[in-house]
Amino acid sequence: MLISLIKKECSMWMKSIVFYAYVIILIVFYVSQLEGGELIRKPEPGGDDYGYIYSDDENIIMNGTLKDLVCDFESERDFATYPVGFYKSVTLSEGEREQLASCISRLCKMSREEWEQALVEYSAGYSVEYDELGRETVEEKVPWPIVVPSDMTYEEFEAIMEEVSDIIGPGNNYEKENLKEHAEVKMTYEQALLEYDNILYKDKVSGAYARLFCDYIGIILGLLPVFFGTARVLKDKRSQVKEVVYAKKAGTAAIVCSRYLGIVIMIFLPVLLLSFLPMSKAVFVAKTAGVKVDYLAFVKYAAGWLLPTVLFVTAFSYAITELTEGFLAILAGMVVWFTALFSSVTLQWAGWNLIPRFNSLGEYNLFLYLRPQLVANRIFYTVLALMLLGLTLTVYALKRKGVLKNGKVSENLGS
Amino acid sequence: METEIRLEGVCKYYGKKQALKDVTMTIPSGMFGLLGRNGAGKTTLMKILATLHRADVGKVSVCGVDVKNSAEIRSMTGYLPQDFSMYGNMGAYEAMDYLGTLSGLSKGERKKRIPELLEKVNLSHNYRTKVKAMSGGMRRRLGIAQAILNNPKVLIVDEPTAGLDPEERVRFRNLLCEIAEERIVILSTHIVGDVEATCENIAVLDEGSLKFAGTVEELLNMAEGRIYTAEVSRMELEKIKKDYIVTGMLTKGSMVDVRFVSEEKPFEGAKNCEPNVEDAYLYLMNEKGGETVCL
Repeated sequence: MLISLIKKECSMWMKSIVFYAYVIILIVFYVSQLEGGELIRKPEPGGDDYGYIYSDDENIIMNGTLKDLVCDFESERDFATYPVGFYKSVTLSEGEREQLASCISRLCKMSREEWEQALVEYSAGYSVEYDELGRETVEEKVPWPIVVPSDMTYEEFEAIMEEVSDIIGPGNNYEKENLKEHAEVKMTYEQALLEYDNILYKDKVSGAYARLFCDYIGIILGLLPVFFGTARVLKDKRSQVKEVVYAKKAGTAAIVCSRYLGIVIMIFLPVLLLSFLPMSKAVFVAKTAGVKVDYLAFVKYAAGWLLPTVLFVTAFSYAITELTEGFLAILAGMVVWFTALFSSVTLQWAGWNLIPRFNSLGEYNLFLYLRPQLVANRIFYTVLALMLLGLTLTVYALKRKGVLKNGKVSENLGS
Repeated sequence: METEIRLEGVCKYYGKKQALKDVTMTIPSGMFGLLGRNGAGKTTLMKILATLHRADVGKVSVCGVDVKNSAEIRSMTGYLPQDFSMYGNMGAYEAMDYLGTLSGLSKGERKKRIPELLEKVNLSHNYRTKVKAMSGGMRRRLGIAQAILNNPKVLIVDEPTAGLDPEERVRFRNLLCEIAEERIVILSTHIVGDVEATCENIAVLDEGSLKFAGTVEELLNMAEGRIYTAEVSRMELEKIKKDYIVTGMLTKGSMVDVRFVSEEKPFEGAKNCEPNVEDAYLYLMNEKGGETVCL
């Protein structure tokens, strides 16, 4: 019964204006954001910019972190934290700033007066100039003066940074697992070549394109399924078919799950079809470079990356609309979407955000570094989706028995 | 296997309002009419039988199965709600196919049964007619067809003829009678004529209480000898309206043929006549007051 019902749901969506509006928005978004984008090219020796990479060198990590910490401290701005994946500004008290200054002193083995004076001298010799094309040229008359002494071990550094992290609070940029992000260095030609090889042989080209595809498409999939969940529930209300359906033999699980899965399929199928376009680009690059392409890369990335977003947003709107039988889910979905979109720490970040970002073509090693948080993020949203589906099943079952009406315990259902 | 519906001490509350008050009755096989004014509790009772509401107090069993066992009850009942409708852009066949799937019919069963039923309800030429383009009568016929898709032992039909033209009403009533040959059909209505034309057994609900349960003949017997007709002037009619329950009038120029209820012969010229169901119903609702008559 479930399979037959899912087919019928899909065929209903094929006649729906909501579905065609979704397909058009998806295509327009793809064409405007991704079509005609860059192709992966082999780096040429002697180039001046091969991109950036996070270094594994402990010395670079320690000094990069200290520099960022001093800059954050001296700017006297609030500290940005992401306790549950969303932005939270933390203002430190005078006492906490004193503690933080003490940590900096211990990291560089200089008194506060010494490193503040060194910073003043450094700033005096620091200038940034822009040419007519807007390119910046940084001039440092004095090298950065506040550094970690060579006799400090990485373990000692980590212990002090743990104190720093405790002062600022959870989700800050100085937590143990985030320290490497302060060690961004320019790639050398050799590293760029290695990166290129990674794309060709580990990513099999299509992986790199699939990540960029998921990055962009994930943005609109964070919102558009909201309209499907709402439309499906309200369709029953508007057509006055609720009681006819309630009285049928089909179990609540079969009815709710078929509708839910019908939506997920009808949202996900156009995404998979659309992925043929960047896939063809990947095939072209792979053939030019003479390497084998992974034809399933887009399916794998879309299933692991985009599907949890679709599952969650659909379940979210379905549950809220089943409970309220109004348009509240669309409003709530927009709030969630805006919050998710504008709370990404960087354009290569997952955290606990609904819309993970990886706005790069390539950067395989960086992706490998971020992959554990992406996996945890996606599992989290899939579990949330299943919980919301469970809530929807409960609400529907109660409505079917007449216990709930529009999310309220029935009081005046008429005679 | 039992072929009746039993209700024992059924009560239903909506907040402080009591919609059903200690209703006890048995509904046998065949056409069963549930009469009552708007708001009498008919729809609530129908919804309890269709598992869409739960009784707060009392026991309800359908063909020996407790209504709390909703999955089993749904597989043996068909329900046509008041104001039946379907997704507007579905054709008749497609709507039946969708609801047939929800009724648990296999593809083969649906292919065989849907044309038969559409034929039975005279919609065999309307397979592709969209629900939104159907007349009220066509929609109601589609409703009855979907309600018997699973060949139910019990068919629950709520106010099916309201809003239909006389021809459609008669056609619909005949259709229900045909269907009732093999099962229990509960017809809820406030139109006495529908019950008179189709039902052998009836129950009357008033403000949630069961006022009468028995056969149509028993209801008629209650009013036997109490229905009178008289030809009166318009002036006299006003007095009759004040003193008696008028069940019918026919104006003939300056005179009026009036039909009314009276316990004894009211005046010279009034003739005793055979009661019809409408007379008996009005007598029951007005003369019997709060008394419950279960025969």
